[in-house]
Amino acid sequence: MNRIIIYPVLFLTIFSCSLYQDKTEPQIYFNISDFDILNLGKTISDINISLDGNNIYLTDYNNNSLVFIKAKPNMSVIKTLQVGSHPIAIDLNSNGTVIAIALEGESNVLMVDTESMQIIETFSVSLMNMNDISFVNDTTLIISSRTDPSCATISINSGIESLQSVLNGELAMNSDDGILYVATNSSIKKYNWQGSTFQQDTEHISDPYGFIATVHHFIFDKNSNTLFTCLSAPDDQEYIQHVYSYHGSNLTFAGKYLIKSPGLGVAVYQSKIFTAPKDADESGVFVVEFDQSTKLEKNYYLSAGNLSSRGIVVDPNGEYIYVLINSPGDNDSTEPYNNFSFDLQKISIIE
Amino acid sequence: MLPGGSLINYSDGLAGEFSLGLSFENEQLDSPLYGTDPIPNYNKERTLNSSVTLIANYGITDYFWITGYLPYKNIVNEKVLFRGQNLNQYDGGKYFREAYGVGDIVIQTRIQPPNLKLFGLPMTFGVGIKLNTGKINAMDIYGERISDNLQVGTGTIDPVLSIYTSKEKGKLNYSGGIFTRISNGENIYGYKYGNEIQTIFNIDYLEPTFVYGGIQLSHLLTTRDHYEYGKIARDRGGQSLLFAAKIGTRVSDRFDIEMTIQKPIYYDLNEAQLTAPLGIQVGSLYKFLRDE
Repeated sequence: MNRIIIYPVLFLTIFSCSLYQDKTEPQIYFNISDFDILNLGKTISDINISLDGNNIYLTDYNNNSLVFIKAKPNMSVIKTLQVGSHPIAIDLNSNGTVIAIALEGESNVLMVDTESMQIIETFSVSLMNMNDISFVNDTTLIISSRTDPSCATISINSGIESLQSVLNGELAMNSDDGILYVATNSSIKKYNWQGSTFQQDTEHISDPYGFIATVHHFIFDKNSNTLFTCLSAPDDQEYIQHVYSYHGSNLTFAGKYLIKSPGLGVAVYQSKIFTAPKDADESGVFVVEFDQSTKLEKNYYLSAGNLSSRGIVVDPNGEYIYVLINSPGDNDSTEPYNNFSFDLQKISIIE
Repeated sequence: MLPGGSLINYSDGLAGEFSLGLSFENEQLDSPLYGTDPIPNYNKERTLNSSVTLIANYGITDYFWITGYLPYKNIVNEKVLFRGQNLNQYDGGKYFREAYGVGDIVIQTRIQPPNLKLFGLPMTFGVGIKLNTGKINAMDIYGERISDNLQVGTGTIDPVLSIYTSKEKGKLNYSGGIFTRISNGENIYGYKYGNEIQTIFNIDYLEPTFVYGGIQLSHLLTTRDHYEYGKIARDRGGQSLLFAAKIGTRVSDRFDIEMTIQKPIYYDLNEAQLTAPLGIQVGSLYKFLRDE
């Protein structure tokens, strides 16, 4: 009697083991592996990284300061330097020794020494509501403004300001060839540096976007001689779903990178294009890596919060990307009118 | 935790004996793991599972019983959405999903052949079905159907099988069993739950005094779920090892109340899943004796 029951049960038990095995695996498009987050709780308007990748510089818009971050091995704040009303944009000179800061809230441009982390020069300018700054070369800066009709240059040696026939917008400089690119709200323009003035290359203007754009980020990649721009259109017009790239030589299209929402930031390392989309996917917010040759997605990096305009840089050694993130629900500030806090996340780049 | 599964008096009923039990289970899943490792909860997601289960047991003969489980479930999920993560709430923010109602009823028959012993242990075999009585169409506030694993029902009728044995030695009762639910295809929305097998080992202190207690070690293995047309669900399935301690009181010969606290010891989950650091169960059992 026992055998009649027990043997069939044992037989069925052994052969039913396959019911409890997953014979197939889902395609894993992303892993959750990077939790290196530096809690800052600040409203960051721009980010830059030192040439050796060891330091990160952030402009704290609400607290009127420049924040020096040690990037490796673990992120930490080294120093917070008071700089003036609403720092909006920064740029590094060619050897990474000086940071230029444009202030939105006052008509001053500051120069900060990266070694001593002190202000070494202040230039008064005629522009108001500055929005971007770039080194033309080691002796000249160019600044754009949201409200003034044209950009201005400043001689670092003499402090003399010169108004230029350059439309305002986001700036990207090809310092080696003396070419300035400006992403305006209608198209991308190209200007050649003549030693003291910029001359527009009127033969090469990109096609108009077709809408009045908000330019979230605009960079020039020297290796591929390519420009990358992140745009969004007014709500009642087209919903932008790509990051656009243009050939630096003639401003024709060099590729569109589909991210299903406007891009907020872009960073390039060799053939890797890292894009920061405005919208989350159903599974979370991802930095999307594209291959520049195929223009296709290569990797997805899960970020800890909403991304921000200009809020992405890549390590010069190609090891990490750094993104500014705004995690919903983590704002524990009780300060009035201060509910928009960004933290810094370090993400390892997949080989 | 099996609803009412740790109530020690279920398997010793006699012919004509009827018992009624009530079990309350609660767990809050708020600790995400990726495989075996803890990970941050970026969306600050948590799920609160509560259920009350009415358990009825009847001895048809001294060796053959029938048991019914009638659960009422309440499932609340909360998370903070990122911008664009849900188009109905584009700007993000707090997002709640809730499902409640009668869950899937389980009917189980159990037989203990009187002369059957394996290694000297009496064996009880259970065969039953999990019905599809639970609703699977709960909506969120935007009228969108919420995901299957937050519904109170599964939408399929599945076989439920078990093998169980116990042995008293001194003042202790050692018992163990294997329980399995085998998924019987997709529900009407095309979602197919994975199979589940749970192995349980109990040691109960049975000295017939006012208070009794016991410990339980259980292993739960769940295979992956699948979406329609065979697409494999990410973040579902895996295995866990759980430890539970219980304490109970015999209010009378006919009435027991007990409480169980369950704590996970080990997890190995498929991708990222929320886990509960603690589970609580409170159960009671009332026996209607044969001479009543």
